Amino acid sequence: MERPPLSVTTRAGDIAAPAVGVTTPEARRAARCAACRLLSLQASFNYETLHGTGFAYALLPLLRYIYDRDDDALARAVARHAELFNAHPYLAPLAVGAVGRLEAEATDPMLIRRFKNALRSSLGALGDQLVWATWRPTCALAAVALLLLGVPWWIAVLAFLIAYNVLHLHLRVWGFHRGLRFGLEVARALRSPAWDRLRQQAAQVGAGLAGFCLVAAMAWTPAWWGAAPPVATPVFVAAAAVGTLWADRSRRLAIGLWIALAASGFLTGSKGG
Amino acid sequence: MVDVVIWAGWLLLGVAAGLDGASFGQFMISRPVVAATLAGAWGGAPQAGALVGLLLEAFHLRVLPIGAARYPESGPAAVVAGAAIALWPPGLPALVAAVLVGLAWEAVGGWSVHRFRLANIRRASFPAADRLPPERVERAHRACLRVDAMRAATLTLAGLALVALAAAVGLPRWGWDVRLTGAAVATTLVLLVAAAGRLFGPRWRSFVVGMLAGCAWWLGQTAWNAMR
Repeated sequence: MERPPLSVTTRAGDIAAPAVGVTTPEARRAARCAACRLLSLQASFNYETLHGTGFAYALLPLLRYIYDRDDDALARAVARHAELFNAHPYLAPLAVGAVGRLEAEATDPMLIRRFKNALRSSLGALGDQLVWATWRPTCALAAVALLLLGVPWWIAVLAFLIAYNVLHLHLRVWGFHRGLRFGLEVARALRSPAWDRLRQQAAQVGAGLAGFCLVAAMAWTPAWWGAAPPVATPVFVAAAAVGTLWADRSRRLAIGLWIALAASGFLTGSKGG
Repeated sequence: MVDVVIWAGWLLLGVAAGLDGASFGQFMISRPVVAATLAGAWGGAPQAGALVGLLLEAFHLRVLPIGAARYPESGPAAVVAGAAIALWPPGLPALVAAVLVGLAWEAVGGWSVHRFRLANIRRASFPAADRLPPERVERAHRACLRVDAMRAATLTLAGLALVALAAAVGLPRWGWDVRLTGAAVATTLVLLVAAAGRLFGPRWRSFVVGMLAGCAWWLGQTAWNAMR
C-alpha cells in the first residue's frame, strides 16, 4: 500500500509522535526501529569516525521514513550522518531523536552538523560523569557489599542488574523521546539540575558503600580460609591507606600483589613437595 | 553430553558478555560480578564463581571506558575465570589462579578490542563521502557486529582451552598457609575498595558513615556468632 505524501511539517509531527502521542503506524514503526538499533550504536566504533557509522545506522529508519521516495536525498543524508560523532552510548538516543526531528523539519544540514558537534561533548561529559564514573561503580559496590554480607549470589547479581539497568533504560527511552519532541531545544533538557542532583546523590551512596565494603572486606571470613590472623589488621589498614592515597595506581599495584602471591605460593609449594 | 552443554553455555555466555561490553546493549552482563558468577554457577560452582566475580569486580571498579580509551575487557575474561574455578579442584590455589587467568585474559581482551576497532576503520568508516547508499552502512555495521561476536567467541574458546589444559595437567601445589593466603587476598580487596572510594570525590562524611555501618555489622555478626 502506498503511503500518502506528507508535508514536511506533518512528517515532523509524525516523527515526534511517540513523544506527543499523535502518530501514524509507519512513523511509530520507524521510531521503534531506530530505538532498537541504538542498542548496537557502538558495534562499528572505530578510531576515525568513532560512533559515526553507528549513528547513521540507528538514524536510518527515520531517514527512510522522511526521504520516502528520494533516494538521492537519502544517500546524501546518510553520508552527512556517518561523519565523526561521539557521545555516551546511553545518551546518544537524545541526539538521534533530535536529529531525526530536525531532518523531518528540513533544517539546514550545516545547522544540523553544528548542532551535533555542540551536543556531542555535553552528552559525552554528562554520560561519563553520571553513568561510568558514578552510577556503575555505585551499583557494582552494592553487589560487592551484598556478596561480602553473605547474601545468595543470585540475589546480588539480580540486584546489580536491576538497579543498574533502571537508570540505563530510563536514559535511553527518555533521551529518544526528548530528542524527538524538542529537536533543537533539547539542550534545555541537558541543563536540568536534576542530573547533577542525581549524580551527587549516587556519589554519596557510592562513597558510603565504599566505606562499608572496606570494613566488610577486613572482616571477611569466607569458609575458604576462615578468620584472618590478628597480624593482618595493620596490613589491612596500610592497604586501605595506600588505596586511598594512590587510587590511580591501585589496579596496577593490586595486580602486582596478586602475581607475587601466586608466584610465591606456587613456588613454595613446588619446592616443598 | 552434559559436558558439551556446559561448554556450549560458557561459549554463549562469553559471546554475550563480549558483545555486551560495547557492541550491543551494555546491560552489564559483561561485568565480572555477573559474568564470572554465572559461569561458575553454570559449571556447578556458584559460590566459587561468585568469589571470583567479586574479586575481579574489585579489580575492575576503577576501569572507566571513557572516549576512545584502551581498557581491559572484562566479559569473556570473567567467563573464562568462572569456568576455571568450576573446572579446577576447589581450594585457594584454584581461586588465586582463576583470578590471575581472568586478569591476564582481560588484558588480551582489551588488546583484541583495540585491534577490532582499528580494523573497523577499513570496514566501517565513511568520513568524507558525499553520498552513501544506506545498504552499505547497514552491511558494514552488521559485519562489525558479526566480527565482534566472532572475536568474543575466539577469545572465550581460547581461554577455555587453556583452562581445560591446566585442569588436565593439574595445578601446582600451594605452599602458603590457608589463613595467610586468605589474608593476602583480603588485603588486595581492601586496597581496591579503598581506591574505588576515591571515584566519588571527597565525600568523607558518607565514607565514614559507611565504615561505621560496616563496623556495626561486624560487631553484630561477631556477637551473634558468640551467642550461638
